[in-house]
Amino acid sequence: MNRVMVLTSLLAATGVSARAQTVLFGVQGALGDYREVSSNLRFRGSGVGGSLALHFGRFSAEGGLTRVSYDPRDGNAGLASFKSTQIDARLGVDVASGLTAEVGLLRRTVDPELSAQEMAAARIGVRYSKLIGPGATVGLRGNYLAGAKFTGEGSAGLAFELGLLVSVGPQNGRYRFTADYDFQRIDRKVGSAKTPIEQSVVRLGVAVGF
Amino acid sequence: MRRTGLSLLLALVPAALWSQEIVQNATLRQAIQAYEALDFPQVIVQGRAALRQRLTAPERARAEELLGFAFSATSQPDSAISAFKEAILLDPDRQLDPRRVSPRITGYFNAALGQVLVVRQLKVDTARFISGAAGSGVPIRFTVTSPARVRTRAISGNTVLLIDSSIVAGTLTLKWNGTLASGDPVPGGKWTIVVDAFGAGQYTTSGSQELQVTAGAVDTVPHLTALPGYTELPETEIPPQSGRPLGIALLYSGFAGAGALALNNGDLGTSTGREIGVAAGAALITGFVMMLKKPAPRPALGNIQYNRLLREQITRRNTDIVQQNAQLRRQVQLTVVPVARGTR
Repeated sequence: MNRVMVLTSLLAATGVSARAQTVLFGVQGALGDYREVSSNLRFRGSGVGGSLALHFGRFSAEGGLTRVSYDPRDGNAGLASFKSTQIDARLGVDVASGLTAEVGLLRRTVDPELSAQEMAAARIGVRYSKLIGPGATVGLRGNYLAGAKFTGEGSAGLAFELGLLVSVGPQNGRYRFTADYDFQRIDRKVGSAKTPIEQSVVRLGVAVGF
Repeated sequence: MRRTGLSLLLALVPAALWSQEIVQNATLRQAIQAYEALDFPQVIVQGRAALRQRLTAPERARAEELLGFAFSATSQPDSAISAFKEAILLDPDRQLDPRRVSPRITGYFNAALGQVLVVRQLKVDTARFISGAAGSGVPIRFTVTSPARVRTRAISGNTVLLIDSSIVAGTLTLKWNGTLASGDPVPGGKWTIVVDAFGAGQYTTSGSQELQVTAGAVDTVPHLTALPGYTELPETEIPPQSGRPLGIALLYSGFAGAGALALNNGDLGTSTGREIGVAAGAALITGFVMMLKKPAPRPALGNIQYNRLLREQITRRNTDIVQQNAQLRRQVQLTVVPVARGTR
């Protein structure tokens, strides 16, 4: 069974979580798609995640962990399954109604080692969320991933992530259902050789507010 | 015939009118009985006899009035007017009921009134007013039967206040604003309104009315919590249901999906779209549910502005009321009640 086992984690909660809450804990199930270097290295997987979000007036801090077990998508011989553990951290400040500026960190490790690229990067970007009904918000996120480092050599001049955020629950914010999609494109180069990386992860879960 | 008719008119004056008054003097009682029997010569005899005896002032006025009636009935106008004059001088407020007394007698009586100088019908109404306020005061009304200089004063102990001094003939109505010469309110207590009339030949007459004056605080105006006829409007409103939530969810999902598709690195092949599909599906379901759900209240900006203006208006009015009350607290409300009445 190549499915990733559930691990507790802390993961950035959706940016559209209930702003009225000071603390928001969440657990999620995750689905992922990972591709690297060429179209032959394609993996799919599932896993779990957890998140913690704190809100202080205009400021917010979010952290999370997502663990996904990836299997070769086409069952190609010679490709091994691996487990990816991604840690996300974000600090945000509301700069306008619904618009939040964010900075943060990203670190992804794999197990077994060298089965895929491990990486770390800083992130800077914005998040915009929109209230569409009582207790329901949708939002978009765009981050530039700066200073990406890899276990192998190389650098990424262009690296960014795009997100879709959904949160719905009662207006008192005691609990919320969340859906959080992240698409990462990292144009890694080693020397003059292109070794790009792409990952798509969606997390579906529930968060409880205090 | 003429005398008989006049007698009948006189008889209309109810005997009860006379019998109600206590008459101690026996001669006067005989005169009254003679009047009731329409024996006018006997009324004149008995009335004159009574006037030569010791009578109280009301009895003397009654005797003169009986003589006036009897002289009128016996066609002696000069004597009737003379008798009425004496009656009026003794009792200036005395008057005849025109519904029960013949016009001729009333005419003699009015002629008598025009030939004497008296202050009649001095009346002071019960009143409550703010001392010194413009247009406020206690009404004083009296009649002077002949042209005369009339001086009206308010007197309490050693305090004498001139209310009015003017030449008057007929009925005059004055208003006393209850202030001292300094402009301060008069103190509470017993006050007497005295009206002196100075006629030709240094002839004077006067009337008076005693008053009880009570000084108290002026009622202040309560603060406003609302303006009559204006109520605050709800500051939130529930917008009508629409497909906007689903539209927004669709738009955002479209942005994310199109972005992921456009930014996909072709060297890595195409993504299955499973992840964005799941997220977009969640967004669309959320949007659909919200489309069916009762929308959340939103601020009603027009109502908020209206309420703000209303509250500002109330605040402004209350500021005015504070100033008005500060002024009212410096004022004194006088209550004037007539307690006794007399003339001299």
